Amino acid sequence: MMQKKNLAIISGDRGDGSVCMQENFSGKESSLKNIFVGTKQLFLNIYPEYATHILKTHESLASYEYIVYIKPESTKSPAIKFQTTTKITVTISALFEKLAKEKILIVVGRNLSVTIHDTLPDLHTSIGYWLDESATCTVLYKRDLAQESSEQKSIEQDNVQSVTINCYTGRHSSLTVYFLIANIVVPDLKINCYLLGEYSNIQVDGAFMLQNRQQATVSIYQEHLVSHTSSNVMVKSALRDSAYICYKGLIYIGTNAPYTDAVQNNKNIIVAGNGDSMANNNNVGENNARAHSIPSLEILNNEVRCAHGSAVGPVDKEQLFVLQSRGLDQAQATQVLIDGFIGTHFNGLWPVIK
Amino acid sequence: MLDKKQANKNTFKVKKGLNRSIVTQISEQKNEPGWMTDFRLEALAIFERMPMPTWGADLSDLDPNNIYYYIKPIESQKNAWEDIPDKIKTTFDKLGIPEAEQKFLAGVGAQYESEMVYKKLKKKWEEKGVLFLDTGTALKEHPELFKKYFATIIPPHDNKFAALNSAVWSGGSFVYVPEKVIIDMPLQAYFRINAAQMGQFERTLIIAEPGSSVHYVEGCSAPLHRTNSLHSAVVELVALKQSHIRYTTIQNWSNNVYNLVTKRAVAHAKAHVEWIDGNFGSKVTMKYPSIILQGEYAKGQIISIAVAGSGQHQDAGGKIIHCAPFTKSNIISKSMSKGGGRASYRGLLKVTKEAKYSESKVQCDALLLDELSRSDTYPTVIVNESSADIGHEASVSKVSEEQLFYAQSRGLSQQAARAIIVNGFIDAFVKELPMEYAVEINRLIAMEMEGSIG
Repeated sequence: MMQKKNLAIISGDRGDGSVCMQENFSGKESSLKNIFVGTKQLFLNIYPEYATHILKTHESLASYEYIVYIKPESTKSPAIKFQTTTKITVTISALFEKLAKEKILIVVGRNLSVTIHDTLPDLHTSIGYWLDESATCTVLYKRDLAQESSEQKSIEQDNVQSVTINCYTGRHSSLTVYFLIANIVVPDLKINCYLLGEYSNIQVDGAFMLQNRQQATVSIYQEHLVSHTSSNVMVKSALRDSAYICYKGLIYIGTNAPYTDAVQNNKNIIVAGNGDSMANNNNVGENNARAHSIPSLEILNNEVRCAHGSAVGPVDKEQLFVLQSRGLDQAQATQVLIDGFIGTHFNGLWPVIK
Repeated sequence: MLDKKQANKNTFKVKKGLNRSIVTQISEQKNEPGWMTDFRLEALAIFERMPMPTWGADLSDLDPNNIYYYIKPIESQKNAWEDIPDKIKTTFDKLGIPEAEQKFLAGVGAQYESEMVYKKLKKKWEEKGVLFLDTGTALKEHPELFKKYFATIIPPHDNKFAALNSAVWSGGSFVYVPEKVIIDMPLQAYFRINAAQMGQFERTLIIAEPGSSVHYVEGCSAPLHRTNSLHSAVVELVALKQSHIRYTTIQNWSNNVYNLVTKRAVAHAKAHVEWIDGNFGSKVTMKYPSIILQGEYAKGQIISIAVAGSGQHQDAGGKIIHCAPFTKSNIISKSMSKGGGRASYRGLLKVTKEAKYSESKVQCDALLLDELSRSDTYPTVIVNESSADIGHEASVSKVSEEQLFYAQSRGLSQQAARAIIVNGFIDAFVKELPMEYAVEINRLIAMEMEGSIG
């Protein structure tokens, strides 16, 4: 779980053109002072070799304008595998409010273990996570408009929301992205997973809870070009009323990527309106939820394990019956089942996310 | 093995390429009624207007102007096996149809080049009013029935190659099964491309009246040619109330054939339609048998396998559209790629707002036999109804060392072990085939396995 004492709130202006952070953690000094925030040019000036090396690893990295670099304890010490890592939890808020419209790349240094809470108020963003050797990073990404004031809701719903999350993993690194998006229109959420180093792993666990006329389009791309990499994507959704989700997934496994393990799953529950019996046809207009799912595979190598699954269905009637027989009404029972359906795959993080 | 080319004498051959006068010529040659000539010309206009599909397989090498669109063979229709010329008999022998098979099968409608040259329907089916004719004859002999269903399921503007087929179709089968007639032995037809660069555009229409049942089998094989050939068939199935149609295809075109086929069925209330589809050979195959479940409680099933060898692209799959409540469907697709071949599954599963309580399961498995080959899966699932229960699953794997080791430790050679594992992989398909086809497929797989030891 999160370590509160290492919480850092990044904000402020350094005054020399670059953006700085204010370290705000109770307790002893930690490695957090080793967080660099600045423009790409500044990054290139301060860490010329490292920056050039990072930006060369993938062509899409050229588009980032701002860099957040979480440095390992000592850049000079050689990478020692199995070294005890420092746990860092970063809540990204104030800083990104300022940079919300910018393209940010977060670089996690060697051997670090970082948890990032991304509670960006505005979804207009392109964000990247670049993991150095043996780094571990967990990203919690949550947007739930139902919890915010109605004033804000009406403003944001007029906005076109689009997000691109790019994930780059170096050797032996591991990235986990959890996201929960509720009650918001997301016309375009793109998650691109580029597994750059051998033995790296990316896991994406996402959930959508949509109602009314909310729509979401999510595209997930898993690119495996080197050997011994694994990726696992699970996107779930619970749809009410006339909500709509479109899931497009593509796993690409190149010819030089043997021993790849890639999985993608998309599961959708369509929650019927008030009673879903055939006799209740008069509320058809209220219950027009739709789910489209295109989980594609392109595999150019035979030494792989690759699978995908896609399911769409209603809430299980038997489970509903059991809960109702325990005294819950239909709405409550449905809610319990949806929480279970969405919550189970957040690995115990559901209480935090919710 | 089946690729020995024979010297050909064709009586009538229109010029290469396609234009209004060629289409009119084909229609005149076949003594067709005016409405059919108009239909063909209209379809030609649609064909010329529509762009080449840019998705799916690569069709850039295909030149529609370099193809013969109609060849009528020298032999006319014969009714008894004894009257069939020796030359054609040898062709069939090479295809592996033993004469004895006739005893098992209800009739043999064999297409040699563009025209039916041989058809035989057992007497007892004739007595029950079953029609099993080539499509051209059906147009002449049963114009009313023909006009009622022809092109109602696949209109010319459906896609570019359906338009092409509509303009230049010749041959194919017409099957009509009257009410409550159950044909318990499969009807069978073999198709064959034999003249170099000749396109084959058969048009098949099967109508099953309420309560009837029919199993239609077609097998394809083609000899090797140097230039690209085009095969573009249209198959329409009409399954009326409570009827059952099973359509089995075994296709083994030579490696220069473009196989661009449109197959679609409509299943009315409580009807059951099955496509059993085996794709071997060809240079490029784009084939997505589809079923529209139009009536309540209708059922659809698509079982297919695709084997892509060197230089081949098998872009196959299936489409099912649920339009009525309580409909059920099932797609099983197995694909194998070897020697740098590419096998793709491209499917659509759609549940409309009307299809309450419908159920569907899609399963597609791919087997990669070496590191050069490629496997793709492009499924699309569209669900617009909350009570529908839909599942899709896919997996990609190779013949594992463990399995091989196990089989070899029981005394099999590596090749035999491989063949046995692959046969196990496609078992779901093979067990749906008539006995003699199952034997043929097992032989074919063993042949395909030769030289594929990685």
